Amino acid sequence: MRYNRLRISEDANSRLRSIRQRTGVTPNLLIRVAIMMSLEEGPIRVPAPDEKGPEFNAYTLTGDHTALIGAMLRHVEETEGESQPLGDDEMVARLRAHIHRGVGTLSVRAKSIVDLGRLAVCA
Amino acid sequence: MILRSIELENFGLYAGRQRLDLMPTRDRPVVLFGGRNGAGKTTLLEAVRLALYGRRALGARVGQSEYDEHLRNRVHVDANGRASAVASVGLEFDYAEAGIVQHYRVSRRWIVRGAKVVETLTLEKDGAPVDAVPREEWHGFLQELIPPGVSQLFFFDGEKIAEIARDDPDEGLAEAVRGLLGIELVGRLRTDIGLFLARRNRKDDGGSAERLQAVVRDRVALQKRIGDLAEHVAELKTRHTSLERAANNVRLRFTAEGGDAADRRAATEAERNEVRNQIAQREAELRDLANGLLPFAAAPRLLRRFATALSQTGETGRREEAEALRMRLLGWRMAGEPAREASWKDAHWQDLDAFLAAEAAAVTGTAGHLAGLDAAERRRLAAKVADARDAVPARVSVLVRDLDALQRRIRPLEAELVRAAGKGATVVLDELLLSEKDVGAAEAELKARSEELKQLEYQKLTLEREEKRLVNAQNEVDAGEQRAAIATRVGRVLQQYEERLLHHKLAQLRTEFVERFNHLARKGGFVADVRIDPTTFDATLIDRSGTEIRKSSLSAGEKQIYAIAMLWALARTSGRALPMIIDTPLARLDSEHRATIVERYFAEASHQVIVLSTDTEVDDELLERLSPNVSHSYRLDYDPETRSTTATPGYFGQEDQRALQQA
Repeated sequence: MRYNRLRISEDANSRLRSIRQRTGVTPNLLIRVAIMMSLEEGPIRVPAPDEKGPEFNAYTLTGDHTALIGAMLRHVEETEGESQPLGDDEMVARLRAHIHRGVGTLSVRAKSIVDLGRLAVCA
Repeated sequence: MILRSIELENFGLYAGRQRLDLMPTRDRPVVLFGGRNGAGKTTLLEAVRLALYGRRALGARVGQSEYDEHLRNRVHVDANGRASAVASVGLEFDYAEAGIVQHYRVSRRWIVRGAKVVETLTLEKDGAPVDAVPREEWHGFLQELIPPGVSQLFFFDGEKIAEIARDDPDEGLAEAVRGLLGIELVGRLRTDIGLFLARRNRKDDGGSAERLQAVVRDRVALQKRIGDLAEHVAELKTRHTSLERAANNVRLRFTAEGGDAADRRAATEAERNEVRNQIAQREAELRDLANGLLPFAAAPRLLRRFATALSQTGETGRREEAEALRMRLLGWRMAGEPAREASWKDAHWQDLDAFLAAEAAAVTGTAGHLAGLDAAERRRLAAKVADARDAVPARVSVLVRDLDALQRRIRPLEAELVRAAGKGATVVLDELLLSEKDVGAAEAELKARSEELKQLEYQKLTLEREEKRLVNAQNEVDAGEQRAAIATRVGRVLQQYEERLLHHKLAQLRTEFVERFNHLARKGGFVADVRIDPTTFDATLIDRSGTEIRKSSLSAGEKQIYAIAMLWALARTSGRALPMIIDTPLARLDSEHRATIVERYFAEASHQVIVLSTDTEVDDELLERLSPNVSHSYRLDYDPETRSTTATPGYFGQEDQRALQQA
């Protein structure tokens, strides 16, 4: 998966802002957690509702972990899902969808920074 | 004043430059000029006046162009009818100022260029240009030295005398007398004062006085209100201060009684802060982890599956190896080389082949996209995944446990702090609140009253300002009235002064005149008195018997005597020591009168008497009578050939005399 910039949904953006206030963790890191939480739930079929949120560039968003995240996304979507290779555009669209879904879940479960830790321990 | 010399250059009949000495020798005041009609005697008198007065010599109101024209006409014209381009008149004289005799030299020089005349005035004092007075003021300065009005009485010709002797009241004489006696000045002063009085504005100021009264009344009332209010404000201030003091006491008590709780509170706070610090530390670590692999730990099941997939993909070589091994096995079965040690049955071969085939096939299914990764990348990902699965959750769980414990510790501490804050807020607090409320109320009241006071004071200030303005206006009126009163008084005094001065001067003039007249008249004691009208200055002679002598009854000669006596008396009354210049005074006199004039008038009129005479006036006989008083004499000779006059020392017939003396 290759991408330079990515716009998240407006809904995700507003939720991220409130989570950030509660946890003190920057949105890009929260998005990473959200992606993983969504991927944990399995392949996604519903695309993100819009791209009205702020734009992140690839390095800010996934940084050193771009390859790993890409691989895991592909693993979930291809290997465990449709089993057919996806184009880059489709991959990015799926990633956006996962962000949207993950942020939704995160906003429910992460009330503080400790909760973020708990997500990593108890899940 | 004494005239030293006169210098003429191309002036009138005088061609070239001629300097005539006018300085009389000791005890001989008369300088005699002899000249026939048209020889230039009057020109000499004119030159003196011109040198001193310039334009003013022609009269009081003479325009510059008229003056220029006059100057152009007074330039000498030679026998060929050519006018000189340059002309000048100059005068040297001594003038005593404050007891010191100063030597002056005045010269007027004019250049004629067509219609234009350029005049240059030179004024020297003791050989150097006068610098105490600016050049523009020189004219005025000269007129100050010898006022033109006065000079009329000293520098005169026969015509003047004839005029004075006329029967009807004389305008010119009246003016001369006024100017001479200094009465003119007083009169002008009086007129100025009258103008000042007339100009003064006599506005009725009743309205402003009323307004002033009202303002003063208002101001007094306001003053009283301000006083009351100020007292009230002062009271309020005292009350406010005492209330504040009371409130302060309550506050101190409140603090003191809550002191115990405050002490404990400090310790609790310290502990809470320590816990908070620890929490913050751990949270920071969590955030750090969030920047690392913690997010991946949030998907543990996926991590497990992904790790499996990775590890399976990691065995991609195995599939080829299995296939290759199966191929080699099949090849070995077909070829039988190297030789088989045991006996292999088909079933064995098939089992082995199936195993290898299954082995090769099993891996193919899971290879997927991960197959595209090279071994190094796969190892990196695998290491990360392993960390995310094991190390991160382990560390995170420690942090989470710590944080939970710390939260449990901090909760009671904070609760205690809240309780501590609430402590002491008991009865004392109520008291404190009450007293603070009192203070607030007092403060509000004080503020309101102070504001009111300030407003009243501003009103008072406004009233005071208006009062001041009105008083000033009234003072102005008063001062104006005072000035007017003074002016009126001064005017009255001046009038009196003028009257008395006139009276005094006229009395002096009367005495002088009677004395001079009888001194000159053939009939000694012919006139006993003279009455001079103080307004018209018309003189009426009175004889011994007290009867009026009508001027018309005087003979022509007597009239001339009368005129000379009048001029002489005026000159003496003026109190100025000026030289006399007398032009042809003897025309109508008989021989007896002539002798008297020559002996008594010429010799005594002044310290310097310049007599301009024809040969018939001062003839040989008179010359003999006059000669003891004559310093020196000149004869003016007109040469019709050169159309010019030259002055030579001597007098008519003196050649004869000299010849006589020689003989």
